[in-house]
Order: sequence, then C-alpha cells, then structure tokens
Amino acid sequence: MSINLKAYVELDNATVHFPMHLDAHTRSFRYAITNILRRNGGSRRYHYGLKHVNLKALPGDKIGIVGRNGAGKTTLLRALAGVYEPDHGKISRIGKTVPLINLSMGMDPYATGVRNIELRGALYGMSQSEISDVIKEVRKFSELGSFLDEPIRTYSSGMLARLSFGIATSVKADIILMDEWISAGDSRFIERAEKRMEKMLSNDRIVFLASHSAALVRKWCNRLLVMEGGEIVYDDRNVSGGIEFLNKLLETTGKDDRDNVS
Amino acid sequence: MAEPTSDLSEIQLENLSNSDYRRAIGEGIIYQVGESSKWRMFINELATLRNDLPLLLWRAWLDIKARYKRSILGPYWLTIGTLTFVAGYSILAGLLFKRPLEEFLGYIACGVVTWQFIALNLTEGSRIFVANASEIRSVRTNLINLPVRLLLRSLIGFMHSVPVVLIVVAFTNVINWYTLMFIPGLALLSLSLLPLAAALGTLSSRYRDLEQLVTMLMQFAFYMTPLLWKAELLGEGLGKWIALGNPFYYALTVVRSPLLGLPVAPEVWAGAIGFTIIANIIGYGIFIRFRQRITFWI
Repeated sequence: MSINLKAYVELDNATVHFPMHLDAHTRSFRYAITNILRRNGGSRRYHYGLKHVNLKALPGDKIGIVGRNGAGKTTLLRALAGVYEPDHGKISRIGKTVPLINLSMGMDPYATGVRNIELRGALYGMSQSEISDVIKEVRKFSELGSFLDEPIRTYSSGMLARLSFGIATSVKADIILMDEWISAGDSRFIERAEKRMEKMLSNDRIVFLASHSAALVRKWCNRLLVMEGGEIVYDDRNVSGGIEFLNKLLETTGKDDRDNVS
Repeated sequence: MAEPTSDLSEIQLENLSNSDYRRAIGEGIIYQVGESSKWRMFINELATLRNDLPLLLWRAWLDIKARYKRSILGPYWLTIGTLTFVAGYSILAGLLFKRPLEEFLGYIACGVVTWQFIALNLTEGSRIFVANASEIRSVRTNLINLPVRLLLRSLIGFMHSVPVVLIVVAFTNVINWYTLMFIPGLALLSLSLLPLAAALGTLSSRYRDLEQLVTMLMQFAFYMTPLLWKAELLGEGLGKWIALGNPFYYALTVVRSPLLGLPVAPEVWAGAIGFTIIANIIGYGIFIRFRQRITFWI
C-alpha cells in the first residue's frame, strides 16, 4: 500500500435489505403516478440480505463463509466489496480490495487476451504499471503464448479458464473476496494452479472465501463464518467445529425451509 | 470469536493527514460507509472520480473504438449520416421557406450535431445504470463514473464532428474568433448534461418505463427546439415563446452560434447558465438522494 496502512475490515451492525416490492407494476412510472393520484400508497416489502452483522478481520485471516443458498454469503462479499452500501450500520475497510465475484464479467470476446487483461485491471481500479505487471505474470503462468494476442473468442474453454485464473491470481491486493473457488480447469494445470493459489493465500492478506465445499474451506481457511438468514451464527477459528455446526443446522431446520436464491 | 482488537482502524486513520486520506479514498484503499451522510458519500465519490479520470478517458476511447471496429471511417460514420440528413433537409427547407441554401445548411448542421450530443447524453444517460448492471454488482463501481464516461464518449464523438461541420460553415458562413467560443459553450452544456444524465439514470433504474418516456420527450423536443427552423421565423407572440421558453434553446445556442461564427447574446448566456444551475441542483439532488439504492434497483 502506498500510504503504509495495515489491512483491516470491520462490519459494525451492518444491515442490508433488498426491495421485494419491485414487480412489473411498481416499476412503471405511469403506474406510480396514477397511484399517487389515487392516493394509493402501496406496500413496500423488504428482505434481509444482511441482518446486524458484526465482523472484524485482520491480516492473515483466511475466512471461509458457508451456509445454505440465500443465507447471505454473496451479499456479505458484495457488502465487503462496496457493491451494496448498508442501510444501517457501518462498514470500514482499509486495503486494496479485489472482488473475484464474477470472473467472466466485462470480457470482450472480440478483444485480445492482453486487452481483456487491461479491461479487467481497469475495472479493479489498477494503474497502468500494475496492469502491465499482471500481463507479464499471466504470460508467464498461463502458457497461452501467442494466443494472448489473439481475440479471446478463438480460445478453448480451458484456455479461457487459464486466462481468468491467471488474472485473478496476479492482482496485487490486500483483501481478496472470492465467491466459490476459482480453478484453472485444465487437468494438467491443476497442480500448478494449486501452488499458485497457495502462494496467494499464504501471505499477509485478508481472504474471504464463500463456498459450498466443506473440504476446500477446511483446507484453506483458518476461520469460519456460518451464515443463516443474513446473520452470522458462527464465527470461530475452529473450522471443523463450524462445519459440524453447519451440518447440524441444515438438519434441524428441515428441508421445508424455502431455499432463496442468493 | 476472533481475538479482540483495539480500534485499529481509528488509530490508523487518525494518524493520516487529510490529503493522504482523500487520496486513499480516491484509490479505493480506504472505504468507509454507514455513518457518513449522503452528501459526504458523494464527496468521496468525487474524490474517486478525480483519481479515475484518466482511466475513464481511456475507457471512453475504447467504447468508441469498439463501436466502430472494422469500419474505416470509424466515428465519422455518425457525422456523415448526420450530414446526409442535414443536406437533404436544408435543400427542402430552402425551397419551403424560399430562402438561399446557405442560410440553412450551416445553421442546421451545427444545430443538429449539437443536438445529437445532448440527446445521446440524455437518452443513453437514462439507461446508464441498468446497462452496466453486471459491472455494478460485481465490483465496487463509482456510480458517477458511468455518466462521466458517457459524457467523455459523446465529447469525443462531438469533436470528430466539429471539423466536418466547420468545413460546411466555411462555405455557408464564416469562421472567425467567435468560433472558439464554442469551447466554453460546450463546457457549460456538459456541466448541465452530466447531472441530468445521472438523475435520469437513477430514476429509470427504479421506473423502467422512464427510458421510453425520455426517448419520446427528446423526439418531441427535437421538433420544438429551433433546430430545423429559426426562432425569428415564428414572429412575435406565442411562437416566439415556444422557442424562448425552451431551456434547450439556450443550452444549444451557446454552442451553435459560435460554431457559425456568431456572437452569443448576453441573455442567452444568462439563460444557459441558469439552466446549468437548475440542472445541477435538481440532477445532483436526485442522484445524491437515491445513489445508495441504485444497486438494489438494477
């Protein structure tokens, strides 16, 4: 970091709620006007994405986030990324943050691999020199060779995966937000990719990894959050204990519980 | 629970000078939301915008390149399309109003090109947040950056048209020192279009049919604004007020008249400045008020 700050994340009573009253009717301006004229208030419904979440994270924390679909894992990542600003409570974050939430976002199939790295770097708010570092790294790691200067629509899916994996693991960041584990696809590549991930996770970063895989979380994380209904119901360094807690939670609350889409 | 920490963030932030803090906010190294007012969040957004400006210019340039890829003429396609329309209409108007061709050709060319700049900002502005939904939901996006990028893109497009238009003007009117005055005029116009685009984008991410309404109103305004006709031709009375009561008339004239080598009347400057002030108050008012909700609406 240029100003020499220590990475730090804090959520203080953060609450995010989603509007549930936006359907075809209420999204219509015409309808809204006639409603005002008829003095018809209409009801507003909200759904908690995050509910009074408290959290502190320090450098070295590799935090796994688990929970059923719709428990608020991705919402938490998005709030940390600064996508959702909380309706109540506070979020503070110190450190360059890179959200690896939607890796295929912003890829232009007609642009070359290099240009796509530049585009992605721009989205992450990187400077020109940082971007050229990433290009060098990706050239070295991805083994795409001259394909990097071809439009990415000519890539095979494995090559595409290697490209986005290369970008994702080359970015310099103090805080990394991952939605599901990213992999390099190619089986020949898996070992190298694992090593690269290990390097990325081993230093003094803060990492958040939302995942459905207990094995991954057990392997990579040193702290676990279990989420349920937008709340953090478990937060401890005992990762195995957390996974047991989650399994119990999934059993006791039954299958009839509606599975919201996250 | 995780081990207790002293208020690390507060200690770190207290030791930070004001300019360093501002810079860190701009670079996205420090991110704080919650306690700050909406106004404060907007100021932070402007700090980030300042930091991102070179990047935005580059992306605006990429937008244009992407749009006109594989065409030799590139952004000049738009200009040529416009000029075809202008030439056709000018001949017709000259015959209709029984005036020489020169009187209309330059006037309409300058007017229509300026109008396209306005219309592009307002119609695309009204879908700016919806169109970039996936980006907004995947990375922290400085929302004001999006209308700024649109403005930069349309400015680049406009600057491509200016030389072509000036060639026409050289034949029909004159190029003189007044011509340069189109730059402050364009700056003033840009200052008023940015908040309007931001506000329209905000409102139509909530009300999706607003986009169509804006397109419709712009079409209406195209005919009601003295573009294809001259305000003087309406004579006194109601017709004159249709022209003079139209805020677009002032915003447009401060760019069009200089391009034609004509001075801009003080009352037109006053009208344009008034329009800019009102557009800023209303536009930023709406944007600041609902900025936080946009992500949930799109």
